[in-house]
Amino acid sequence: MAMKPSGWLIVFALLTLNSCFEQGDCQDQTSNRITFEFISSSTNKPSEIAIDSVTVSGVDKTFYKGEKASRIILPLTPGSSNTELKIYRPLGNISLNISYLERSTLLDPACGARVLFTLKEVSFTGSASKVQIIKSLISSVQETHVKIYL
Amino acid sequence: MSKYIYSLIVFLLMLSGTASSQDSLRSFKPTGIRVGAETIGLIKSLAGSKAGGKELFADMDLGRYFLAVEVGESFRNLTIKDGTYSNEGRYLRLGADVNFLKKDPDRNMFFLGFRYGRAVYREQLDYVYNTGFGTVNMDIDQQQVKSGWLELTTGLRVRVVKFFWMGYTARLKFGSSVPDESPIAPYEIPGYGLTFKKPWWGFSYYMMFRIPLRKDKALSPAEK
Repeated sequence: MAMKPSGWLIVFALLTLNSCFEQGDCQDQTSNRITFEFISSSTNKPSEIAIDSVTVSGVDKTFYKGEKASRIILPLTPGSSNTELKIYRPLGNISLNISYLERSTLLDPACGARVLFTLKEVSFTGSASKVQIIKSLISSVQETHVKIYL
Repeated sequence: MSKYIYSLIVFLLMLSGTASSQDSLRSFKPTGIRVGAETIGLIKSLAGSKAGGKELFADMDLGRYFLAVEVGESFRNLTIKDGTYSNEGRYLRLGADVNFLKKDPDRNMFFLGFRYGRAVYREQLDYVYNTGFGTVNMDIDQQQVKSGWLELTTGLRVRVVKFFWMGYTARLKFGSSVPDESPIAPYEIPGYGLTFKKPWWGFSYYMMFRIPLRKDKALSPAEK
């Protein structure tokens, strides 16, 4: 059971060496873009819909004007705990209120800071049947974060 | 954290076995208290560095075991790519060391031990965030952030002249905990270091004075 002091020192030195090679990196795993996917309630499959326009609170821009899409990617507003989206479409408008946790992370002095968004709740009004959070941590626009059932 | 505490208990049991196998503990009465200051952080502070701090140290012998306490404060100011970051706070480490030079007539010490650390600190992060549709100035100040961690320690304490001692502590730090939902993901914990370094290491160099509490009994021929 007993170990000589030199044995402990070797274990200590090896563990310490491991730490010496650990460095912070600039890999940014964060995004403020949230991806919504429209799902047909009857088929339970992605469904392309006609969109007149989409507006986002805090962003002075109109998105997806006169387009057709089964997925839309929209920005969340930093410095706030929620963002309101309005999807205008010929078959009925949808309003979404997205609540999220916003956390600033300093990656490294040379890399700067980023914001990590984590979805808490999405509520809706209008012509949707259900809204479901699929992935709460917003890290990539390639992933679907919220499904909107029509 | 629980797996680290379990590992620490196993480590202490092994240390205890090492310590007690050869020598019985004749006395747990303390013979003195050492108090001192950490010098590296102090020199950094005095040199006007953007990071530094102060740390006071004290330990007391109970036979070959030493109870140790370290109290400190630290600060760091960083210019980052798109803004500034600052951190300031206080920390406390409590623990014990086992002396492996029991027969040294000057009470010089080579030790292994452990610490449990706690810190309370403030972080400020001011930066410009590019949303892709414009920029937002993020100015965040989080106060009273609390963290804890564990350390395995080793080092030396050497008597230089009568009451004056010098020595160092090398630390392997692990099991750090930070709040999950704070506005800033903590970047640095005072007394621990960068939060993403797991495990991480540290080095403290101390200058100390030993205050005798009772007259040292000379080592008997049997003890020598």
